[in-house]
Amino acid sequence: MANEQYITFKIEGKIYGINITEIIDIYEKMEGIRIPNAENYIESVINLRGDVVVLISLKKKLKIIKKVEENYIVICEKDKEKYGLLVDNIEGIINVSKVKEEESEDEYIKGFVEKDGKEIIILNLKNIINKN
Amino acid sequence: MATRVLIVDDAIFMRRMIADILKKEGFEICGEAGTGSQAVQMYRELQPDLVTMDIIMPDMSGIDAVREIIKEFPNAKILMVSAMGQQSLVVEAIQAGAKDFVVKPFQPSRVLESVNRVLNLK
Amino acid sequence: MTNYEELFISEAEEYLEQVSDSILKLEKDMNDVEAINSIFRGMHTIKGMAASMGYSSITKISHSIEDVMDLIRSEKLQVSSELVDLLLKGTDYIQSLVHKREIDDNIIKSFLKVIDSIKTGSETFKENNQVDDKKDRKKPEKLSNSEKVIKIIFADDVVLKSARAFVVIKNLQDKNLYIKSEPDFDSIMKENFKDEIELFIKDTPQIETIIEQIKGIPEIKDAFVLKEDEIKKDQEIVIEKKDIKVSLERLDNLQNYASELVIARGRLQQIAYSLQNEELINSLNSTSKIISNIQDEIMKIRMVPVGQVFDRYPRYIRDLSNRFKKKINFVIKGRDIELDRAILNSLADPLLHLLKNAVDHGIETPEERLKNKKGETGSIVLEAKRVKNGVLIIVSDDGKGLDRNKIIEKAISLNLVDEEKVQHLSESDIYSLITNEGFSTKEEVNDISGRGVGVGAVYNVLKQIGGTLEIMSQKNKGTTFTLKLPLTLAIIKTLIVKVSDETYIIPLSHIVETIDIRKEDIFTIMGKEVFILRDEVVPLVRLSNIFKCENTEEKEKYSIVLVEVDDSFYGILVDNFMEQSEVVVKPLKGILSGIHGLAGVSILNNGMPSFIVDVPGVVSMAKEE
Repeated sequence: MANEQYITFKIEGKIYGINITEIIDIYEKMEGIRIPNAENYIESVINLRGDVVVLISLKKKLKIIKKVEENYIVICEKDKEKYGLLVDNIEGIINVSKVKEEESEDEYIKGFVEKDGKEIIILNLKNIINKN
Repeated sequence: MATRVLIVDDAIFMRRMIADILKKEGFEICGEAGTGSQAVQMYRELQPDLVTMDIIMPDMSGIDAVREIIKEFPNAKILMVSAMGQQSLVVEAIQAGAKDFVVKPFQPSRVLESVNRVLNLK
Repeated sequence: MTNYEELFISEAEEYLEQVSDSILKLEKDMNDVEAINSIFRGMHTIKGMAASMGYSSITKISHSIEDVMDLIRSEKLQVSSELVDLLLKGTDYIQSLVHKREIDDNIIKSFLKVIDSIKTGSETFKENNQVDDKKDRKKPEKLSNSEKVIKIIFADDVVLKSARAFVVIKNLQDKNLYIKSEPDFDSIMKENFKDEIELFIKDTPQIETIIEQIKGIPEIKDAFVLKEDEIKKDQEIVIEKKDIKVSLERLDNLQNYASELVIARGRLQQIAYSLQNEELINSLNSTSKIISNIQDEIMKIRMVPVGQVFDRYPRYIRDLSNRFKKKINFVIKGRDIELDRAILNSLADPLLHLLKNAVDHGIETPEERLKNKKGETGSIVLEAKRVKNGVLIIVSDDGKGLDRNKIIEKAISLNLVDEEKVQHLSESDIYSLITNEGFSTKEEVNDISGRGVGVGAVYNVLKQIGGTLEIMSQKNKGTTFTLKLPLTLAIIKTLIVKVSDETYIIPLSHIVETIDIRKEDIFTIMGKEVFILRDEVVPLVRLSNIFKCENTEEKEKYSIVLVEVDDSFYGILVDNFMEQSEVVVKPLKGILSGIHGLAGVSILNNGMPSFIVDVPGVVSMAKEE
């Protein structure tokens, strides 16, 4: 039976997960600079050990109202470029045997899993890191 | 026996001039041709020791004539007679097997120099 | 992939490029001995490499072509356009096989059969002519150690110098001694030499006789064998090959480290100056020089001749012109001009687009051309030129030109300009409208604008590497695209400026001068802010507006960066100048690509990223405001 690992994190009280294979690293939030004339969900760019990395506001992308500041950056990669996703707090790693892939209305959500009675929303990274 | 030369040129004036230069030096003009195809035909009949060949001529060009002649007679000795500004054509003729060239207008001594060199080639 | 495989692919690739280039030369001049030899040598080498790798199909194909070339070399076979096609086909097959693309065995078999029939055909021809020079079938590669160089000096009154030189060369060729010349064959044929040339020949006991024969050729002043030490140094390199191969990845790493070193140096300098420690400053200065030298050397390694990319195109143009039934004379100029490898590579596709457009939309069909009183054959020129601070790459055609009115019509319908503004646009501005994405995405635009596809892509690539694009066109006369490129990509000299609480980088290449002005010096003419500089009205570009900066305050004094774009001056208005600095440019990729007004990003000495301003971009954004 295929066992998959997910990194889970919190955004405004809800738990989200991304497949561990899609994640490179996790950092504490750091200061960057604003990108003029960019889409509103593109928060800033930072210097990550010599790499210029774009930070993406998941709250803006997923249309979640922001009440608290994000504390962490989840670094992932798409088309050989690194991106940072802003999240409130890191929960941990979960093992799940199978993700219930549901037909979702939301292109950014891949599906849902349940762990210890809590619902975890699995994100579709490919669609989140997209120009449109 | 005198060296036999075939002169190929579409202008009678040019043929006369070359013939005069060569006759003075004891060459025998065994034939004159005014076109490329005529030149090929006359070469077959006369098998001369040397051909002077104009490049631009009606019906068959001097270069094609060189090709035809060399194909049948690989050791044919052909001297191209060119005008200024025909450099690439001269190169083509040399590639086709002509041994040397002179450029119009020419000095008699210059013509004889090339003629003698070509004749001395093995 | 094993190391051998990698090396095999990269080397085979090189030889294949050389071969297909030579095949195309051969097509233009079927007697091009140099090209014939080059194809022969290339195939011979590929055969050897493939055989040692155990690639039997490649070995067979290259062997068969080598044989054919040998027949041509010894003039037992004439080059024809059918043969050229066949050579290209064979090269294609090898290319596919090198890249592990399967080819049906039957295809290869039938190819080899055709080649065989050609070979036997010429064999009969040989017998008829009773020419026998089997002993001449030597491989030129082995001879490099026993070469001699003959210097030929022409008489002062030589006429048709090239043809005269060719008489000498042909003479040596007939004796099977000729290897190559200096300058090369093409240059000699174009009379690109003064009154002497050097010919490389195989060593022979009869060399003295040969010299005498050459001296006997009319209009040759002198001929003699050069002594070892008289041969130019770079020629020795050709003979001995003192280069080594370095993987591009290593080179890139090296460059990245050097770039980081430059950043680290900047940071150190800041610290040293703030500490005011003279000893530290002095030793840092000398370290700094060494770092600059390393940087320079690495940049030089990265420079490659544009021919590396340009030489891929003749083949492409040839295929394309056949497909579109156009007659085209394609000319490449300046293939020796050097450019940073990364820049050159990023241009490979954009140039392809431009050339394709030139063939497809630029050059008319032969019938159309005749109707327009032009020669049947159109001409496309791809030229590289060295200019101050950079390199120009010019793609020009003598085709029908862009349709100015239709571009304007389309631009208005796409809301790119309004009718009133169009009146103020320069010719070059109007043609530049086709670089807008609206023009390039829609299929039907092709037919309307004559161009479209790709031009937007070209523009974006140029923006990323800090280049500019200028388009000029004239109805029925043709179109010219001029790409202006920086010499090297990685490091540029810049001015760092402050705009409200943000920092931006402006490349020095665009800057004319910097000026401080007071608030009262700014005027408004027709809704646009301007200032007066030496009696000239200069439009202002307020960077805080363009970049929608927050926390902007009205100030008493401003700083102006005077820039020049398309022969006009503009004043970029900022709050302060910070410093001049060399920065390492990183291109904008992924979701950052295509953001208006930004040309790249860099990490400053303080460790923070900062965006590099796309100067022409912000100027046009200001015009549209």
